[in-house]
Amino acid sequence: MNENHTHDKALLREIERRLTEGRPTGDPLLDELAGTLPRADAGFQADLEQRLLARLDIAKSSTPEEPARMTANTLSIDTPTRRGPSSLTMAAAVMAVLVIVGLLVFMTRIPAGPEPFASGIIGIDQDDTPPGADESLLQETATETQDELLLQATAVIATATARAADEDTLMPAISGPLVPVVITLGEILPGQLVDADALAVTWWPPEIVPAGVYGDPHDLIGLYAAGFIAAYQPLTESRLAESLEDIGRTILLTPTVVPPTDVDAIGRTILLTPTVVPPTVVPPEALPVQATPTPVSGDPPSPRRIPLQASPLPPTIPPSFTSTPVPTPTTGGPSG
Amino acid sequence: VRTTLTIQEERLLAERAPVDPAAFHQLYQHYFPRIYAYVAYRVGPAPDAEDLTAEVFVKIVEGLGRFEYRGEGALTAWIFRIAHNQVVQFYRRRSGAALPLSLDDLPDIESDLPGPDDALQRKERFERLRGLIGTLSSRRQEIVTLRFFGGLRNHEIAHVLELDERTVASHLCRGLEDLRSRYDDETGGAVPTEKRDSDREQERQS
Repeated sequence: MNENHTHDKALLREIERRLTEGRPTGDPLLDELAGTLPRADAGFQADLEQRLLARLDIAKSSTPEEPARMTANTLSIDTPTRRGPSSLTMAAAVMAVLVIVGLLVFMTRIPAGPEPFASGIIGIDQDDTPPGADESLLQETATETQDELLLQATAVIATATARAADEDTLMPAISGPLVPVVITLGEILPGQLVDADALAVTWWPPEIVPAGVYGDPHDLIGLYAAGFIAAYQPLTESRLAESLEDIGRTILLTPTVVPPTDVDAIGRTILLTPTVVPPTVVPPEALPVQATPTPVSGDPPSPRRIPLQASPLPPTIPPSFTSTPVPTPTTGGPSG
Repeated sequence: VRTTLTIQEERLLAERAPVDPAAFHQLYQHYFPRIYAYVAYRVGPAPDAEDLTAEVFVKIVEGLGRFEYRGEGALTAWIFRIAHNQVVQFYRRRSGAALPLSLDDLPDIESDLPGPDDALQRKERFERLRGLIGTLSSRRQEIVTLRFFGGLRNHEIAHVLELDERTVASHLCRGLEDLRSRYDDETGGAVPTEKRDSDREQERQS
């Protein structure tokens, strides 16, 4: 037993020495066992390492909720069954925040004290109004301002809903009979020509649609803002005018369409996308009287038609609504 | 020369390899030759050895993130337990007797033995050794291949096979004795084939 034990210990030491030092021991069996090692193809080894590193990246990026399940041949990642909040839920939350913020902003703009709207909204007793104030006028103004607020909030809600439902088409997010309402996506200054690019169609319940709204952006082409129009407001007839004269404004320059040209390598003129030079709005007091626009073809001086007649584009389609190339004569090209 | 990792190196590899490609590269470079050699001795043909080695490393990548280092040799034991299980599954999947192998199917062999030998001779030696090892009991086959081709120490083999370290040592010694007996029978003494051939050549020349 002791002899066996001693022999085993010697053999184990011999094995250890052969494997760690790599020197032949003189024992043919041990030397052959330790010195005959299968070697993998280097290409296989490198290729496998690359594949493993790729899998390691996937496994690393998997969260505990998304466990990576790998087999010898395939790798699949479980799709989480629990989904996050839907886009409509998010849209509703955004809408709520927008309405609250809008209300707060609007409220902070109302100066405290004798302002009629302040008393109407925040419940200040009517007895607090300054002596001499016209009560009927105050009530009327307060009602108008409340309507304005309601309109603004509704516009914000409708726009946010429509955007959340479908950003491309701005289709309604709720079912039921709805009517299209054109709103502006940005502020429009008094006397500014309505920019068709800054319009969007939203869908409103009929009972809250203000009177005189537009349902088609094309109907607004060539109209001017009668006053300041905030972003996301519905555009109504009362807020727009067909000419600047109607709103006591005039323009210094007629909007023109400048067909930009370029010359190609062989000298031909190439027409590029037309550029619309917007009219400059100037207060009437700053302008001479003769600076009003001149009609092109004897028609009444309608600002709606002036830029369109001066344009090479069809008169009913604004430049922003079309990408049709405009035919233009070439110059300097090779003939026949 | 077989290199071994210190306990610090092994722990660092275990911790960093799941998240650090450089650490994984070191782990791969350290274990790939040993895994491949062990698997090749156990299964034989190079294509099978490559498939199994790939499966082993896929399992390693899969489990590295969850592996907890628990002392010296833990990483090596874990990796070779995966390899051992894959070999066991390979033989379970394979139905029927193994087909006779041609030398072309065998993997290339690396040799540090003195004396001239070409690739073909090394492959013949590899196949002969495989045949000898195959005569042992399955337990001793496993221990001998893990020790000589996987490069595991006895306590690591004990971890892999869930045996006592002394049992591993005993199986290893008894297995080598059996091998030596058969080896001597085959070679006509304790002289390797290549050496015997060269001796005969020298005798003929003298």
